[in-house]
Amino acid sequence: MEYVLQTNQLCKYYRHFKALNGLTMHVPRGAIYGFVGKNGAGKTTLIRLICGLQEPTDGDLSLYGISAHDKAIAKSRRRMGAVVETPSIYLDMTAEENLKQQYRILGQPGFDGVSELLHLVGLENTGRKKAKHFSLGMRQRLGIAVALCGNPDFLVLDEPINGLDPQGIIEIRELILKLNRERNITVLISSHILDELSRLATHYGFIDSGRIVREMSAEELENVCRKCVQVTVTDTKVLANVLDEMRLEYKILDESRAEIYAKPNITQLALALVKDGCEILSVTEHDESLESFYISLVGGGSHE
Amino acid sequence: MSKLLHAGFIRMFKSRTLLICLAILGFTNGISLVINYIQGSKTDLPDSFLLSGLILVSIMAAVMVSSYLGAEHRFGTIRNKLIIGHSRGSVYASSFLVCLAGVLTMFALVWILTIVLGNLLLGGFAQSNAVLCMLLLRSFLAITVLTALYTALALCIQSKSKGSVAAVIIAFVLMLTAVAVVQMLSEPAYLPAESVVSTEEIQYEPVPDDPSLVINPYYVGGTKRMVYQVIHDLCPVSQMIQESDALTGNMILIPVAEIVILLAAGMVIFKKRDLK
Repeated sequence: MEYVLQTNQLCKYYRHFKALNGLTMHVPRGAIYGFVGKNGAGKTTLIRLICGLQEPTDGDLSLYGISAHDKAIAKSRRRMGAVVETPSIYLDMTAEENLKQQYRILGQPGFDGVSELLHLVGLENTGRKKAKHFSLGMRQRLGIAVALCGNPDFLVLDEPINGLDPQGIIEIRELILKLNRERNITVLISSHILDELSRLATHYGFIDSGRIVREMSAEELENVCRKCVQVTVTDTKVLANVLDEMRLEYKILDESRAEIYAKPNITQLALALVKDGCEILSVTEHDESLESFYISLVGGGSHE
Repeated sequence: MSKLLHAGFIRMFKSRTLLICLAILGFTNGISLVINYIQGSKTDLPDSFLLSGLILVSIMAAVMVSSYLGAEHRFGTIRNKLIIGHSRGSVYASSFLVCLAGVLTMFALVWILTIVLGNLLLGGFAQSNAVLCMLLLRSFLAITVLTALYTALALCIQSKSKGSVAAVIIAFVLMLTAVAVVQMLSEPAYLPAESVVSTEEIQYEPVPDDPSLVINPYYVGGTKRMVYQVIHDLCPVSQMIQESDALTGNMILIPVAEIVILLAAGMVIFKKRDLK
């Protein structure tokens, strides 16, 4: 798999405080990578390191395969855009002026894409209104537009929906999906709002105390959080045959346990199993939400 | 860096802070010259207006640079430059050059306004063209030193308000130091005996070899004078306001060394700073 961003045992210390403590992560190309963690877990610190705003204390970070220790990383950074914490915009300028200013910083020959970008983020009708008079959602969208000025193929968004009203959240979500699907932009999005992330992310990285606790695809997470019935039997081979006959989706966990992704008729299942000499020892309904999964990951103690 | 300079110059010359600073300088210098002319005062020549204008530029430079660069930290827009791969060195250098352009615009306004209005309304300068040329050179170097100092403060202190307060306090400290040091050093060693009267507080001792002169008790001599001279040489504002038509090596070397040291130190600190 091709990765846009990889970190290896990345550390960042502020005096004695370990903000990142050996963080290893992989952001695949084309993914919307949801970077999940509670406040103070190290999400923003990692984003600052990715953006070159701070230097790592130890470990390595590579963008498009180029290490942060290599001077060529500056060229890789030209392919990315980012909104770190608050949108980086001149509040005394209009939306159009902000984009033109970023075009100049990038050294773009003209302002051809400005109106298209304004249209993309839904700020085409703001006219001469200064950014200081914008709502939080409008500022956030302008921040994203500024980050998109260099036509990046990697976009880093730090808590983009924080403080937004429901309408603002929907707008940002749709914008991110549009950018990923239509422009094939890889997005790294940090958030602690799990429900919102679950509507976007194709991959997840769970961070706690400066370390990635687990990385997984949305598919894997869906399987983990899927509603199922967990059965413990004396022989899973017999169970598998019976479930195949009943055309039910299932997963054998070990010699005695299996998960059934449906609501089987327990009497019918028990009778079929008994017929082949297999007994049901226990049946439990398994319904893990994203929140409970997250809590189980970062809930307490060490996660090594 | 040319991209950063292009973007920076456009922002600087559209900046409201620069316009306000120019308006204040234009008002205080230009209008006071005109008022002086209307009142018919023959004693004030443009020279004093030029010096007060340049001192005001040194204060305005602190306000303008800290406001312009502080906004980059406050709005977070400095991140936009670094994220897309501009080096910290080029961000620092371009910030300095852009601010210098803004400060020199204020500097030019004071000079042009005072020369034009001073000649038209007050009949020209008391000092010779040579002294004025030296003043132009010294004040240009002093303003550049101050801009380097304020740039270092504004870029290394990430809080706009703290950076602005620090810059303005330093500007006033430098101004007051300069005025005090120049005044101390300009005291003559001897005074004409007929021009002073001894009182209970101040006793004027006659000069043994020349009874027409008395020793000036305010004259600073010895080690103390050397210390004041070093402060005078190092303080950009006192360099600016001294009256001299002599071109000495120190006059150029000290400010140039200060500019290089301030830029290098500022850049090293800025490169090591963790930005938010």
